[in-house]
Amino acid sequence: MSEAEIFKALADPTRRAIFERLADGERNATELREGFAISQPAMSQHLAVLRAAGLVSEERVGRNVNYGVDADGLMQMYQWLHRYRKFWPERVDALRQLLKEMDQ
Amino acid sequence: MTAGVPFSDKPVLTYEYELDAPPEKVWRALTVPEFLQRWLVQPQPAGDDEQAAAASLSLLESETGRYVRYAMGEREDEPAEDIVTFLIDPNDAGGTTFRIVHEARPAGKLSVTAANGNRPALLRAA
Repeated sequence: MSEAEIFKALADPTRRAIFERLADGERNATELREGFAISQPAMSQHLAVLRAAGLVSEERVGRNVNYGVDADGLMQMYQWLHRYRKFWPERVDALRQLLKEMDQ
Repeated sequence: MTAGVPFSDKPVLTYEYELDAPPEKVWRALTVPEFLQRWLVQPQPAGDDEQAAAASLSLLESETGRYVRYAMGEREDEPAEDIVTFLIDPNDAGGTTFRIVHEARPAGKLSVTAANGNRPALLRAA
């Protein structure tokens, strides 16, 4: 799992829709496919990419597999965004200060 | 200031700022190592999560007065991971429109050598 993998996983609109549906609550494979015009193998592919990115986890319950959002993967993406949203505004403040001092 | 995070193959952050200083002066602040160390690059210990500065910069390419692109390392003991491009344009007020494009580099796609020493790897833009 890496930040690049996470963003790649969510670059696809279908995978984003699948992920949004799981954010509403856990689903098994049949429930998850309702309303999507994609085949079971295609759904499996999308789920595999989401799982590899650490965004989706699966849990076996009896004969069914339930899919849900993986909180760790979400946290990693949040941390990358948080780090740099703070980073650049602070650096640019320092740049502005330097530009003033360069006058002297 | 604007910031955006488009969904693409890799995470990209873009920022745009208006600076009072003219482009020639901003260019020096973006490319002269002594100036870069005063606003962007500071050595920092590994494991410091309160990241406040880049640990290393390696020049990738530049066009004088237009843009400069660096590989940026977050920590001294790790390879430079991200690619940062600074673009400048004169604005109507005699200042500078300053844009930052920050891309997280997919692992293994590029092979820019990271700084191994204790000092940041700084190169002067041509």
